[in-house]
Amino acid sequence: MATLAAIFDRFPFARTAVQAPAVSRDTTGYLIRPIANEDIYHFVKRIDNSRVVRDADPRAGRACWKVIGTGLAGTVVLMILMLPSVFSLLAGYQLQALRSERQKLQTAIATQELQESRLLSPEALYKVATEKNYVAPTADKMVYLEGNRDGSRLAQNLRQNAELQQQ
Amino acid sequence: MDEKEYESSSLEFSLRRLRRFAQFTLLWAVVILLRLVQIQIVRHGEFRRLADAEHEHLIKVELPRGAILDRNGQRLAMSLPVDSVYVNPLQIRDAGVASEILASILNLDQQRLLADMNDAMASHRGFLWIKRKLEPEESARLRSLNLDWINFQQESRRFYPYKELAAHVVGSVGIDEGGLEGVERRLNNVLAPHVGLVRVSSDVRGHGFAEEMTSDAPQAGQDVRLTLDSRLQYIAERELKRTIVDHHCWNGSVVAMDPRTGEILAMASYPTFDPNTPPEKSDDPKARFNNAVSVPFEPGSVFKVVTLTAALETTSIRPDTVIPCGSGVLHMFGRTIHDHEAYAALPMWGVLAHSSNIGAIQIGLRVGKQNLYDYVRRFGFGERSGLPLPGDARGLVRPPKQWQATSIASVSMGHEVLVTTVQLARACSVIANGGYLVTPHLVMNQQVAPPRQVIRPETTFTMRRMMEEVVLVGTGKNARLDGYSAAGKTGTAQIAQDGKYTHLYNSSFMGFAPVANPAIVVVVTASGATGHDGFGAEVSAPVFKTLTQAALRFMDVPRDLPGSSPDPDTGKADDNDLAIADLAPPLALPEETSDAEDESESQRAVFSDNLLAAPKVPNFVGLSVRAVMQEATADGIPVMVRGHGIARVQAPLAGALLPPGEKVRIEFSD
Repeated sequence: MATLAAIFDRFPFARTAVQAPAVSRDTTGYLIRPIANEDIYHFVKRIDNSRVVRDADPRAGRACWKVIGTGLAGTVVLMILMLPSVFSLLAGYQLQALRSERQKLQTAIATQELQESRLLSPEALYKVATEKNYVAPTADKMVYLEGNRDGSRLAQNLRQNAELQQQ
Repeated sequence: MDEKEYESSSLEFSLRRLRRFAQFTLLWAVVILLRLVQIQIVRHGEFRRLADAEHEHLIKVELPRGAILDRNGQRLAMSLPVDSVYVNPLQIRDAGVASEILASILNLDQQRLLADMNDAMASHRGFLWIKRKLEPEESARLRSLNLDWINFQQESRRFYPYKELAAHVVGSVGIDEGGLEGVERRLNNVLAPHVGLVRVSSDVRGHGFAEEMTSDAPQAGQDVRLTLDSRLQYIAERELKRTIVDHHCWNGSVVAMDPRTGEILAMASYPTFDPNTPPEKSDDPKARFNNAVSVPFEPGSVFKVVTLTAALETTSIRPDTVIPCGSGVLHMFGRTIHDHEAYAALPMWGVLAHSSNIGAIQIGLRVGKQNLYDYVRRFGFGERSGLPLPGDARGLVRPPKQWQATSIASVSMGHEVLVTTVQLARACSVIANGGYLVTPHLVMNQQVAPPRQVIRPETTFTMRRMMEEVVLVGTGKNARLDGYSAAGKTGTAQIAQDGKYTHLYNSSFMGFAPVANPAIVVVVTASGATGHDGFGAEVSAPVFKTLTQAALRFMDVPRDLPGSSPDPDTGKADDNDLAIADLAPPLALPEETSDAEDESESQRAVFSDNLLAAPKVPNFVGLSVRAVMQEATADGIPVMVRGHGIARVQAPLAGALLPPGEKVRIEFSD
């Protein structure tokens, strides 16, 4: 099984490390046997990049912007594709809320109708009429207009009265 | 190995490893793909169901039961969603305090509630109904407490805003809104909603965001518009109650009908009940009988109208034909019959106007058995009215071969036949509408059998004139109307008890107005009156007057008399129209043969003698289905069960007499 150190060992830059002076390659008997390539961890290469100037790479920049643009476009397309579903979901919540409200309003209307029916019951009306001393009209107190029931005779009479007053 | 070789071999090694890595990754991807295929395609249905179960719920939706309206659109019955309250007794910390709070708000017996809670706690039951279908005010008060151990569930509740008004027609429903009586029961399939399923998608918080109807979509019950006019109904019930209380009667009924169409405009029965209140054990079960259709009685002298009509159609007797009345004494069938007045002879119209029994017998003898029976049937007696009401009684008209020697005399005076109030109204309509037998109906725009001509029109005109004489100069003076002409006939028949006729009367009046073009037929009956004040002229005619007077005004019928009619004579000498009852033993209503149409009817026609022989209904409430069946089987009582769980409601109530053929309906619920 190759260890990570072994893998590094196969790479060229690792070999330079091998050539580095051994720091603790002491073979005295009382010391623990050195671990293979343990000195690699003690190798420090000082690199001064302060004078390195990075070359302008317009292709890489374009590629970068292309990736960013593609990503953004993809995101927008995805959002546009998902938009109907999102709106549908939101509309669903709204619809449910409206249904619930309609149910409440219908119950309220039905309650009001019940109350109205109770107040308009013949018994309640009779009680009110009795309290206010109303009486049912007798037959001789009722006048039935001739002609149509829409009051055409009444309208005629009113017109005649108006004409008489004008004269 | 130089550096180049080393690099080359190193690169090759790396590439080989990368290739292996790529192969491994590909293999991994294939495994994932296969797993995806298994999940998405092979086991798609299973996982779809599991996913749906997470966020989709099938909800049972029950839309409201249809309303019952009168002919003007006034609501006689309607359903509203209301709260029912229950608790989890295991969550209650102090049952005493809880029961005190609930009992005070819901008007319950605190001790009983406490006992129920303790029982539930002892048996580790996590559910206890406290009260079902609360009043809106009770619910609001309870909700304002905001106590976490009080739970609510919404249920539909039936309201009858006019209370007792038309209770026998409208009927009532059980705790689960199944029709128990009246139209509520017979038109239950129209009124009842179809409980359906709706698929609701909800999020993790339980908020719904989508709703989809299933193939089993819920449907609201249809409204039923009755032909009743609630104003007339109110007046009919008010006047009926007044006359029954004033004359110390047991019960009574009123039917107002449009004679041209057969529409029932009012149908009152007394005693009555409030359908908003569930039946109690202490309630009188008779209060729930619709006397107008379910309780046949011997009509007495009102039946003379049939006898005289038959005479006009089948004999040469005319209104002015003199009928010998034997000075109030008639010897026949080996016995002497006395009339209530000693008339030597009366013209035919006088026989009707003064309600002479001997005159009616003489006319009946001229008509003959077969003709009389034939005309009785032509008027619709002996057949069901066809109204959508439970217990629609046929009455009793025996065929001539079963008649005794005295039967023709008895039938001529309205004995030995049993009729209902609605049958009388139908018969009276025949005279009022020119000879057509209409089909009574209670539901607007209902398709009914067309009227059929059963009497010649000229005969009905003659009868109308003679019936007007009854009101003008005869026994029906108390029925005279202000501004309108009226025609009618009074009737007083003795009631049979324990196989003997008593001095208690069935007092009745049937009539119509105006005479020339009748707009309404009204029949009033009251049972249990006694003495001179118990005759039909005193008990029932005033009810006819008040109701008809108001009805003609409501119906915009122009008056046909110049002014107010003079007050009727106060003398009571001519009020006596008591029919001779004891020519034969009293009739008992036989067991009616049940046909397919009547299989569902449990409220059978009742007659006092039959009722007394009926078994008493035990108390089944609180028992399980098994226990009820065991007890019913042991007592030999037929029962009709509905639902499961514990018996909650029963009809008839415990202690009531169960008429022959009737079943005890028991509703169970958990």
